[in-house]
Amino acid sequence: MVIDISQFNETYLEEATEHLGALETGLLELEKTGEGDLNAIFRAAHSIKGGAGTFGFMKIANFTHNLEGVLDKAREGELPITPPLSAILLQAVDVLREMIDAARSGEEVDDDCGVEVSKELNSYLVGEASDNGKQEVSTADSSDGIRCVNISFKPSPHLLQTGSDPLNIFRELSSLGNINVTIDKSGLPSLKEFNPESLYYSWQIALETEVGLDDIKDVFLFVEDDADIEYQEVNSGERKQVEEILELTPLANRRDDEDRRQGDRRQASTQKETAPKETAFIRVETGKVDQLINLVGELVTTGAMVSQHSQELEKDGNDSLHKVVAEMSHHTRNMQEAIMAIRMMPVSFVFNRFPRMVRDTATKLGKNVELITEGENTELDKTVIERIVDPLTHLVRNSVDHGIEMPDEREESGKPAIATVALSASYQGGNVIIKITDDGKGLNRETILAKAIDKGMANADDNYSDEDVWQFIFEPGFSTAVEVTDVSGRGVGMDVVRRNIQSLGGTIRIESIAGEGSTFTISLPLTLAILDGMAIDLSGVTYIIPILNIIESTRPTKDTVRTMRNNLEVMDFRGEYLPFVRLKDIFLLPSETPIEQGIAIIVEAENQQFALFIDDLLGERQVVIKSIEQNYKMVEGISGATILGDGSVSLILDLAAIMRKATREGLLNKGVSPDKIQGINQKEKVNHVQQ
Amino acid sequence: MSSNNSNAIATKEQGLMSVMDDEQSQFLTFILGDEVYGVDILQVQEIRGWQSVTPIPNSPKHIRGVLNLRGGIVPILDLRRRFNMEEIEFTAHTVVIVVNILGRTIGMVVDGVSDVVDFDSGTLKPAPDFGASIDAGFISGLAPIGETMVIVLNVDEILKTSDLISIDKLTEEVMGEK
Repeated sequence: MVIDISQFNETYLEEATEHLGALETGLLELEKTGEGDLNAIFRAAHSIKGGAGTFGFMKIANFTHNLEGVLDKAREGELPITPPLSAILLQAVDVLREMIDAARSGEEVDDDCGVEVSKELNSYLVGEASDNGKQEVSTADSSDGIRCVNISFKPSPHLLQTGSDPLNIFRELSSLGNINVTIDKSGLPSLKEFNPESLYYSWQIALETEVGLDDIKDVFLFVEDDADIEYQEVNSGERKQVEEILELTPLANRRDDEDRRQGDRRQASTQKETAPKETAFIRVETGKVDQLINLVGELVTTGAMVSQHSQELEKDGNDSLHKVVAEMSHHTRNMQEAIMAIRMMPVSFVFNRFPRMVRDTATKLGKNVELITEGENTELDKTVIERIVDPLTHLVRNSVDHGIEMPDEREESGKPAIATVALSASYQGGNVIIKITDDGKGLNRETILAKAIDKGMANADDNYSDEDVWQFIFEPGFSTAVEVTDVSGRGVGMDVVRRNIQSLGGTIRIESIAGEGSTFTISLPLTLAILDGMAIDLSGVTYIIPILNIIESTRPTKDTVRTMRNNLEVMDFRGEYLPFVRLKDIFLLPSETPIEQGIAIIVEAENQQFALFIDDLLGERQVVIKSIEQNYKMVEGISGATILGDGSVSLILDLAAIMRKATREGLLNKGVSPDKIQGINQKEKVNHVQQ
Repeated sequence: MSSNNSNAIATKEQGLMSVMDDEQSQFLTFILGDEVYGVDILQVQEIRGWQSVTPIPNSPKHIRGVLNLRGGIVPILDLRRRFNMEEIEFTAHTVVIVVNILGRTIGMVVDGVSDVVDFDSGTLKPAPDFGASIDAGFISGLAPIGETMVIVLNVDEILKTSDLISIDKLTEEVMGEK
């Protein structure tokens, strides 16, 4: 049977990436605590190498060979993991990652890629070998480089159930040199007692090879727990005997024989036994999941329609239909949640990259920083996860670079020498909160304010609250780093961070105390496909406003809304004057609702608050977001559409775009004392958003 | 929706081929005012009765709004308004022809559909510049079918000029096709 193994390449590369992650995490753990599971680290490297060989990624296999060798020595206690060695091992991880990425994109790796690292690794191998006595064991009887080893391999009956296949071991052994395998079938029971999933054989293997005993043992690495394995070196006198055996029964015949006998049975049992492993994780194309989410979204909508109709029927005294429909919609909602959960990934996917980054950044800057992560199992939508990587990286790097002081500075202010950066994730209502906390020097109010005034963002005469001041660092082109370092301070940054987070429907807040540190709090929606919205009415048409933008709503009166000299309207909202914008003017819709009969929704977009005047509030809805650009063009002021319970389409407002449009058309004056506008009850706003 | 789109592309290619080759093709004919119009049946996804739509703010007058078509958001083009014809009140006979063109699904409101006719595309006559009620650019040609003259519409052209698609998207798509 010929199998095209290239179809498994992608799977191998995925797995290799996972092993690489384990390898890196293990190394970092080892470096930090001085202890760690060297066996696990070694196994990760071994798996990468083994797979690479099988799937023909020879460069990866060759490179990993040395890495594996060094790790093997380390695990045997022959080689202490020193900081320089640890650094080289981490470099090796980088090289491997590069190779795997290249293999994935189908590119050729440079020939000199990893050569340096490989050389250094090799120096550890060779250097240690020359002055280490233990090495003698494996080099014994190697006068002509060839040795004979008799291996007794007695697997336990349940070996096949672990997914291991003895044939693979023989195959691997045969790649090391000439082998002769003798089977011992004495354990075979009668047909009545025979269990096709059990292994009754044991083997005697005679191996003639140039490699050391350790390399031979590696072949049995994954089965050593499930088998009795004995190794016996054969001296020159006995070798002849081995050779004779080799001649007696050509290996190929034996193996064919073996295949025939075990063939069908083995196939059946391995399939059965590997099945549970495969169901643990299924790799599915994201497109399929998205399609499923779309479909179930439609199902929920249709379900709402059916429910509405059934309620109408109920009026005739027949409520049995309504009961069934209610049950059905309960199930569909559960199904929707379950399907949304498929797209959810733990934030550890993002967090895992930070230990390494913090270590590298801190080392480069000569700082001593410990990273603590918490709540790695908190789950977020895959899209959100992917798009939060860059902002988070930026914030963590900023904390290490700008937040944390140099060691001597810390000492002076009586802080522990090792600084802490904590990264935590938790659920809060329908949102996920990610916090980045450092115990550094905190934000410098004076520097930021001076810079803001210098750049014309702030007014020197105004009194700003701390929170107002922190907001300035999110302005484009704002960077207070005195020197542009290699790590950060290039002027792009925090504004991009905020924009990225806002584009995900999230918010970012800063708390900072001088001398004690800063906390950046990011609030993100669990998913991008569903939105908590407020349905509103304007001229008989229903629109949706994202709850995230809404601070509160109020009924304006003739006294609170005033017209200014430039014909713009402002609303007195708890003593603050907010721009008062009528949505009908922006959408050019006829609506004659008098002020005291309509509703003013206080909204915030891009840090600007204003009152949006509409006809009526219809209530909160959770809506599935649909694109209108798929069949139509982009509409200014509209971010998407959704389908309401009655099957009609409702448009979702993009308040930032509405604000820009209003400003451009002279319907909103941003200059309405922004200090006052921004000063309003920040706490209350946050509370409301979190509800 | 992705399968829809690929269908649309396939449909379109077939549509173009059928116009180019001297082969039998089919038209869906419909009525608008006093005239009979036709569209290539391969471009038609479905025909449905008129139902009220959600208006889109700041859109041209001939875009009636958007409709929920099995979970997709579909814009509805009012052909009477597009051709600057007199407006009439929509009735039970008013019909929306849903077409799949340029990878998009779009609905067109017409007075009513009449028939599906076979037609030899070789006999399609170029539209005379006779100052008809609609722009000559919207007409692929005239097809004599029995006693009547069917005005075969160039739906691609109508959609491209109806402010339905952003210009850069359109350029992108046209470039992509070449």
